[in-house]
Amino acid sequence: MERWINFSVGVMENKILSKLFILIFMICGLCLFRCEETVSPPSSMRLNLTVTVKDTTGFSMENYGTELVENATVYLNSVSYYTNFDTLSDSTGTAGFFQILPDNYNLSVTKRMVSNFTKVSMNGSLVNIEVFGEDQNVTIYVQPAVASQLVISELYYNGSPPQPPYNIPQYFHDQFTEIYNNSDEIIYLDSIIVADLDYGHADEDYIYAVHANMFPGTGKDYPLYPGEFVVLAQDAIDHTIVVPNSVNLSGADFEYFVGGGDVDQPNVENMIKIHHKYGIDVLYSVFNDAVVLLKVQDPFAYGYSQFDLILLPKSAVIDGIDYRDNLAEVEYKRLDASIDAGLTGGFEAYQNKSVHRKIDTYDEGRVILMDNNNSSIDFQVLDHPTPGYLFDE
Amino acid sequence: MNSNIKIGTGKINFKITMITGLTSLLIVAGFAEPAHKLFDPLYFHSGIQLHSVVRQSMTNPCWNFRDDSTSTVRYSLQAGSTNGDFRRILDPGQINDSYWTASGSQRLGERSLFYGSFSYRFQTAADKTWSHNRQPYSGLPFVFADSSTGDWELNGLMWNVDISREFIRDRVYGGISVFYNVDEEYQDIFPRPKGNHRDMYINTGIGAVSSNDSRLGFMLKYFNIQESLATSKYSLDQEKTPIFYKLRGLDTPLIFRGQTSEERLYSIDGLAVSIDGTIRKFMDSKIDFAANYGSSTADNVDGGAYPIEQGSWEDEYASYAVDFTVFLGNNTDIVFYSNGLQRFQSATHPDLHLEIYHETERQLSGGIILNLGTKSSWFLSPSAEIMSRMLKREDTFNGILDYFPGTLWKYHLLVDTPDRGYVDFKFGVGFDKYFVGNDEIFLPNNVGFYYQSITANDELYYGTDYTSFRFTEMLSFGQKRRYSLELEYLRLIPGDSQYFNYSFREQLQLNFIVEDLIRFTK
Repeated sequence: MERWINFSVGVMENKILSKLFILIFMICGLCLFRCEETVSPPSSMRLNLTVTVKDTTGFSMENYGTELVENATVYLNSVSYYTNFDTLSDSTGTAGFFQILPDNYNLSVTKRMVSNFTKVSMNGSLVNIEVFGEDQNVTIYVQPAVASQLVISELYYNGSPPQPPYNIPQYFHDQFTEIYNNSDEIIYLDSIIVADLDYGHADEDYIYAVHANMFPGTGKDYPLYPGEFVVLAQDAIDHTIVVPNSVNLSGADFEYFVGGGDVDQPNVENMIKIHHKYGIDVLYSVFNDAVVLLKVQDPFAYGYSQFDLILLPKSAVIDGIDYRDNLAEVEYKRLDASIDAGLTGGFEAYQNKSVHRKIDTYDEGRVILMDNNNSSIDFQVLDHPTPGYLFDE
Repeated sequence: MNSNIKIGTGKINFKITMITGLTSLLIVAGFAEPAHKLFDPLYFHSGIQLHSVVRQSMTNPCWNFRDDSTSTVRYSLQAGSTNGDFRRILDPGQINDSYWTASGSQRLGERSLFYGSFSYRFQTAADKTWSHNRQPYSGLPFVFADSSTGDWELNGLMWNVDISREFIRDRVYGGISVFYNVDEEYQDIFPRPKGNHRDMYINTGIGAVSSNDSRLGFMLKYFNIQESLATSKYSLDQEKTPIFYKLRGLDTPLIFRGQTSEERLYSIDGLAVSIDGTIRKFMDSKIDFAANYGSSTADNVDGGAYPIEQGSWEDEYASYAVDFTVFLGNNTDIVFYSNGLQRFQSATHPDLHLEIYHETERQLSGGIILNLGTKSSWFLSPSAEIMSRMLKREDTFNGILDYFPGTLWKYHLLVDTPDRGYVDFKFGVGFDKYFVGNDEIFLPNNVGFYYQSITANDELYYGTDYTSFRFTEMLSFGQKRRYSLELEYLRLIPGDSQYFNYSFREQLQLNFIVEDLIRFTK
């Protein structure tokens, strides 16, 4: 230690002392250049979109004296980024979406009202609106649609994941359709058709069905009382035997039967096959499809497309549901806004999930299910299907 | 330099000369690649961190002949492990890395030296969230990912060849160095993405030495980094469909559901120039300096028969380092040093063709090392350093800005025990303290799920103070055959944050080296 003290004193006495001071000064000076800077809010490419909601059918003019639709819920979803926004239109029929990303967007509009003691939904949609470069203004036209009396209350199209003991990789035979009487009157199911539709047919008058099956009966054989429902199974058996997490459909009311090797449960009434383009059973797509209820006098009267799809009149549709695994792909919708202005689903295939219509209200103990003709807001996703009973949040 | 000038006696001309000289040096040098390995482009791009055996691309290969004209054969095992939750969210939870290396150098005639190394690398990265990219935080905002968190395993081979030559005896030297790495890694859970990497660095350098052993060198470096990521059609997990994310900045990635296969190709091309040198007998002192400027661009496409552009990226960096060593006699000297780095990165949107992301990183540090020798050959080196640094990320597409300034104080003591010829032992202990400055975060109102689950967590990380403790040790023994055992341990302990408390992050590095050494005599 003493050596170091002596050493230090000796050194400090010579010229190096001065040199050290200079160097220390310089190093300290360098350290004063701190890396901090002043920052301000960043620039952004986000844009604004203004939507004007108009009804040119005369309905709004008749009821409210204006074509501009106030208090309509406007839904906006981004095609690329999976983001969804919603807002209400103001008294000038205008809804604003602020600071949204540049992208292609899909718009849908719904407004519920009562006119002449009838529930009416005003629906409209626009797809692939380009919002790039500068703020945009668009006008969306809506049209009235009367709420259905007979509705699809639950649709299980998803299929089941593999499970021991059999680990079947893609099990879809447990699909079912649950149909509910949403009215306060008896509805007869006789001759009502359940059909699923093909994509890509821009026809104002007809829908193009891949499969179409009709309830049996001659007119009043199968009454459905208010607040009751029926379950229509692809195969009316207990599917939990092969996939434990699946559903037991042995108590279903009806089942599809296409002949050949298809399961035919003798205790369950079969649907009448009207048209069956392909498959050993009536299989809804586990990814995306649309299912409708309709009633016509003669289902064979409207002909077939060149691709073996049966044509049925759009005006005869009672209720419909459009679903996809990717909800942003609104441009691939199969039903127009007069039947279903939205999309439900949004989950992967074979997850054991179903889509279930939400409960809207109760009328003297009877459940009224939500029916805006917009499955985006009418339906919810259930983690497990509920055939034969209603799911109440 | 006129040695008759009296330092500190009020002769202003010296001070002006001195300050002007060093300032000019800094300006000429710009921000450069320093002797302290302030910035390692190889590690930055590739994540490869080799310590003691492989020379890699940092130093000018022209000096190999002059500095270490030794014929050696070395075998080494370098093993390292990093774990702990004080990390950015896309970093792996635990990384275990090992490199098995054989290297050697050999004189080729009187004036050339050959150096080569060959390494096998094995890495496991556990708990890696989403990202398929090797370096998700490289500043390249176009990262490919899926929704899984899993373990990755990597196997790789790398080699390095240097040739340096003395062109004019004791005056002019030249050299070339090539580094090449190939590896493959894959994730062990669905959807089992796979990554292949090919990294190549070519350095050429030339340098001259004066009669008083001062030197000046120039180096030109080219590098090409390629990363190929692929997820092939799944056949075993048919109950699952992957969700792929194409990340583009700090929020709103593109989401793809139900895709069965994806391929992404990255290619980074870069050029860098450096200047390095030593000025000796500068007022009984020595100045070492290095400066580096580099620029690179990245192309980024989805693979397949019809590649689709997924955005491009530019990177520009400059760094400098200066060491000023004052010799005090009796094996004692003081080193004043400063180094700095500035890096700019920008990314361009693949469809809009507009710049959507900017990242700026800046570091500036100054420090002092006192090297104290004793008669009994003990050597003590206490040191202190202050570093000011800043990270700014600006996502102009989403309208998000992150700004994190901070100050790091570093204290270290190195103790070198007397070399007894057969056994040499040295160890060091260090303590660092990092303080976050006035950080700023600007957000739009409608940020999405990616910001909330990833970027917001990273902001907590960047905005957290920490304390770190370091311990290093090197033990070597043997004479003709030398055995070395090096150990480095680092533990980061986050301080109180108003947002979140992490527990720690630690790193342990172990090198074992066997070396046969034959020293040439000139």
